Amino acid sequence: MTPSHDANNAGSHAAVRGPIDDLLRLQTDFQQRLASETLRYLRQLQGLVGPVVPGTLVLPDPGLELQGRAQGGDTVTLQVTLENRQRVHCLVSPMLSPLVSERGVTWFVEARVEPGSALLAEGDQATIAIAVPVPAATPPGSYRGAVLLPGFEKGALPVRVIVEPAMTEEAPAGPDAQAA
Amino acid sequence: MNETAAPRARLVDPEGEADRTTAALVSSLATRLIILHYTSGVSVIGSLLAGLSLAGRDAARTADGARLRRALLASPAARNGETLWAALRIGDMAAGLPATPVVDHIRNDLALLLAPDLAETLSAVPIPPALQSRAAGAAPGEANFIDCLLGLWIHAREITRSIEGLARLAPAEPPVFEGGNAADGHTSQLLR
Repeated sequence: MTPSHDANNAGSHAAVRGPIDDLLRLQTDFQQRLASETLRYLRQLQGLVGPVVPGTLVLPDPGLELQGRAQGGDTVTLQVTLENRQRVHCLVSPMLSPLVSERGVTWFVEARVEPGSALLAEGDQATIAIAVPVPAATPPGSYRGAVLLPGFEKGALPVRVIVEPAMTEEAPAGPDAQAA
Repeated sequence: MNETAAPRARLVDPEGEADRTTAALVSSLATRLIILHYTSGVSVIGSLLAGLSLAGRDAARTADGARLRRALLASPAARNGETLWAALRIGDMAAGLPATPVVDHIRNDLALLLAPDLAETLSAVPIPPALQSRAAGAAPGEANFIDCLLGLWIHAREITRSIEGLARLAPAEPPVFEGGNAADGHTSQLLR
């Protein structure tokens, strides 16, 4: 360190930055980036050699769609039979997605799934019943969604619930009303 | 009453992937355990965090999950949680790491507990190396299967109750219906 550098450091160090400071800053920045990139590379490398996790694919009947039709205040029950074709036990816990009408209304259904989960041995099957209470104020329309099987490949079975307009006492029924 | 048979869906092995057999499940579990010896704790936790977050995003696609998510977001806990997450750089631990398929692991490990051919399968797959405690003078930790299984149960139960408790702190019940064309008057009535 030369006397002139010492003088500079003793003076306004914060205000005047010489080439040594720039070099140190550059070097530190480089080291930080190098460490960060190395760490990122190592983490990605670790991710490449992860263990294989055997999975389960859901294979529905061709054209399968769970359908129900009801008026506001009723309950629609959807059923689906799940069959385990794998050689080991399989736990399934189906859940219903929100349903969306063609008008874009999203219905956050409060469904009851019975049984909530089923433990199926090889070759076993279970019929899952999904009861969907339709609130009285539900706008009529066709609502679509899915029964979801979390953790399964293609674990979504399409669902359609048609909510019909409520029959009211004032509804025209007689021939006079029809003529009118 | 509709007497027709319920539609059917089969649970099968995905084509081109490892079949779900006892041997494959033991091998997968053993590999997970062996890899732990060559991986940093941060990477393991980071991968689990990514996996739990992915499972959470999947759960939010269900009606129950979406309802819970909205309640949690509206609860006072969400702000503190996000603040802690950012300040302690918890999310950084998961950066660049693959998401652990946490739900698959539960399903596969459960299947192993019920596999009738487990004993003969175990003799044919690599087993993790034996471990020796390096603690000097400290009382050794004791872990066994049944205690751990029960511990997982109480752990999951406490987590479930905690999260549902947080959701109950939300100031208002989330709406049953949302969005849509309000021109017909029906939907606008339902939007709260």
